[in-house]
Amino acid sequence: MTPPQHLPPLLGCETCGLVSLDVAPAGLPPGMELCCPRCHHPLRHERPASLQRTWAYVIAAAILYVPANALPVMVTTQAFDTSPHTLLGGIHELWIDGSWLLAAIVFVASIAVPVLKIAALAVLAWSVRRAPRWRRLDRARLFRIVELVGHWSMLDVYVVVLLAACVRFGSLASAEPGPGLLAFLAVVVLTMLAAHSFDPRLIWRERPVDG
Amino acid sequence: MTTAENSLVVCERCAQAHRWPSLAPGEVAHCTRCAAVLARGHRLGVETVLALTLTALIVFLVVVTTDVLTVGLGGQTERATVLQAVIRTWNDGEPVIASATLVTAVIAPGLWIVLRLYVLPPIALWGRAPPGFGTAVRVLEWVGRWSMVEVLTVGGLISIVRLAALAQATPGPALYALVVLTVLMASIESAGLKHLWQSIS
Repeated sequence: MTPPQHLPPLLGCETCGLVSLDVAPAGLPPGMELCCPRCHHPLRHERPASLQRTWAYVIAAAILYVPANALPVMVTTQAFDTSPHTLLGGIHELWIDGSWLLAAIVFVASIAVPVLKIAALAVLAWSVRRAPRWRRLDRARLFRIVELVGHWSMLDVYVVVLLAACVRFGSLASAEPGPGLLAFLAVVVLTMLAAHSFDPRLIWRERPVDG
Repeated sequence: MTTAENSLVVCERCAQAHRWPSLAPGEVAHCTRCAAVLARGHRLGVETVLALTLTALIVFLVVVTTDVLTVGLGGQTERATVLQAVIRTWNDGEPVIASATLVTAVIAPGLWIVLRLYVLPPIALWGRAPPGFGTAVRVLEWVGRWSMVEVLTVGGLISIVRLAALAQATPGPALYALVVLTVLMASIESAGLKHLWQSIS
């Protein structure tokens, strides 16, 4: 496929994909916006305040990543013995049990994915203004990976919820969520919100991005 | 507002305009600039997708009504459905975690299926969109992001392995149903929604 040459500014609808001509490339008066003629969804060249939102979510996620790892995500009682479990501790238990594959999956989902997501989104948001022409295709691919793997970090939240719901044998054996789990859940949700706030069209903008 | 040629498609990811490619089933067109998927030649017709979605609804009902895990220890047995797990987490003093589990494991996948069952039959039968089709498609995009059935499936498996050392843990019907639902939702998802705008008047 070759892109058609000499096209006027076009807008693709985010909801239905219909392509419309941008009748006001210089911008509309305040309070007015373009809408898709087929599905009436607002038509924009980029999401409003995309970078600010992305930064806000990324910074909040980075801060909460500390308690998410330092505090126990689960507290278990076994034969009157209470022990806290951190994220890394749970992976270590799977590893010494011999479940290497599952230990690897949980390590990727709980440790690697959140760290790489925070780092990748920070690089993506930073480069839009500071290095707009730098490795655009790689940055576009990086963003697609971030979007694709994001929700897998919920894995540990589900494991603790299921364990706490089924291991209820009083002082013999019981499990309940620890304070770190709430922080970890916040990291997962915030990094997903950051990814959804980032508009990948910013990677390809030729004009400098304001705001 | 002037509608540009219907033969154009703008890449969602980088705003590059392309001519609509004509694709054979199974073919995928990528953006010439950012390499994102631009369009797919769909293998499944609307009727097939509708049948798969109905199946998904039945499997989803099995997921929410039956036990995910059964745990036996010292003659006692504990079991939990997804909803019971949510309620117990809430009662353990974690309402936020309980709500997040409810939204991502039950409400989002449920809406994902039900809204498809709302939009697909009129299109399959009469080639017409139901009222509020645009809103439904936008909500479907949102619930698609927050629906985490496949993650819950792996979470159930990991729970069993972690319990193995401590107690007798067996997968319940819901866990098997989750595996099936993951596959069904992936195939329905691959059929896409946006191209349906072209098949309606």
